[in-house]
Amino acid sequence: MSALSQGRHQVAESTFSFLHMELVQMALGPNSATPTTSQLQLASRKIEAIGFQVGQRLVERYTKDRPRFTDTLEIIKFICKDFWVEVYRKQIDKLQTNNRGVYMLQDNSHPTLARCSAPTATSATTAKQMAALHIKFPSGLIRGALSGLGVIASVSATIESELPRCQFTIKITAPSAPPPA
Amino acid sequence: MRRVGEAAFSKVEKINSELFSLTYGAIVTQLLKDYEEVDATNTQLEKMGYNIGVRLIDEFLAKAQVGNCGNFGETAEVIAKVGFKMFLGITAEVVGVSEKEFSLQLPENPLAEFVELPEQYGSLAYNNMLCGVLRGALEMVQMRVECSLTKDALWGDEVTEIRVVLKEMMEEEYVDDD
Amino acid sequence: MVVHTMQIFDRQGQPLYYREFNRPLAASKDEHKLMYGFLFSLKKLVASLSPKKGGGFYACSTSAYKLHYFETASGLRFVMTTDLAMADMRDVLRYIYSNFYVECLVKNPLWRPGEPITCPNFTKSLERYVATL
Repeated sequence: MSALSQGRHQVAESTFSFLHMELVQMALGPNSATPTTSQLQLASRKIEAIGFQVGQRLVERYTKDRPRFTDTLEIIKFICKDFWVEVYRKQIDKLQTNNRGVYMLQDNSHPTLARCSAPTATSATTAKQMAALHIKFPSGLIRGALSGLGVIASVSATIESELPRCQFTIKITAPSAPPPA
Repeated sequence: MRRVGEAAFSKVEKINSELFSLTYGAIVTQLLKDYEEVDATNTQLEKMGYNIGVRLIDEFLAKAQVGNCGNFGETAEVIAKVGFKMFLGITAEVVGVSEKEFSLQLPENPLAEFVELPEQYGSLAYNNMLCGVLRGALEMVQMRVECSLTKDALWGDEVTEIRVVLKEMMEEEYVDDD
Repeated sequence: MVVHTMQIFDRQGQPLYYREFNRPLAASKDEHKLMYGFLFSLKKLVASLSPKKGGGFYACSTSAYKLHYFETASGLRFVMTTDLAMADMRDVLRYIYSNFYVECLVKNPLWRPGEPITCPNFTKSLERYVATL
């Protein structure tokens, strides 16, 4: 069996980065240099949806040999640690919760954002808008990973302060089903 | 060449190919939804590949220790043994080399891990993005080429094969616009 | 050892980047065009004068300064002028290409190839690096 079929094949990290960059351009469409608000929103949704699909399938692969998670918090922690490491080679830096189904995940130096550096002519707002598109994919990944583990939630991604720091806010709408009695 | 490729691959940061292949698959699915037909999707995949190739060439030139290629056949070897290795972790075989064309055969293909084409998309050139990447990258080094997917494991062929045809060696021009 | 200026041209001769680190006398108008034309012609001349195939020029000097040149197969031209004490700068220019151009620009989602280079990731990293030379 080749490494490929055993799930142990590797590609260059930049191969994925280039693909991701082009995914964002594709979602923006032909007018990618100066998108309107609605174009940005549409692009956001498309990119997030692709992240969602990938997250669902990826989490299946990453957890197939693990025992079931006992509760939602464990699932979230798994995403912050093992899952994030598999995808971004680092962990989520800070996890906060209000214990009522809302979790805030902070990545102090998200790899994609760390590479974003806007030309000086770009306004700070535009730069942040464009950069924000690049965290829609990880946002979808989280939502997809949760869904794959039975947790239905909404996930939003924001750049509260400065690049390359970003936050993902998870709002659980339906927790994972309890294990069968 | 193989050793050059392995050396280059050993120096780059690597990730599990699943993230890459699943993302690629999701992109193809989205394109099929957007364009609703195979030809338009094939074209879009190639275009996206081109845009990637135009950037990727600089990472290749910077990280792989390769000199200038003397002829098209050498170019083929470099792409197959160093390029594919460095970015996709696989080594391709060069076949059918002549002064103006060559084909690359991929014994295995990370883009299409676990993919099966549904019947209504049976003629989809799933791997067309690779053709675009090659076209974009080669254009940046002054070679205008046409690349096409001639065989695909997803079509039931033994291997996946890309044919590269040299259309023009671009001469450097100095245009004085005074 | 002093670095005077650094510039980057693309294959079309567009000046993508120009930075003065230490340049007492002002630049002349259209200097970029002159520079590109000079490099282009010198390259051709050097190639035709060469006793063997291959090998391009990588440096030329005057009594006051030295000009170092590095061209990538993708047509990017890196030009650095320094004082005469600087020896072979090929490795330095290659380093700049590999570690700053590729890492800070090519992989930068907010920069398009062919656009003038003003991105802080690149400019600041390059400046820090040049300061160490």
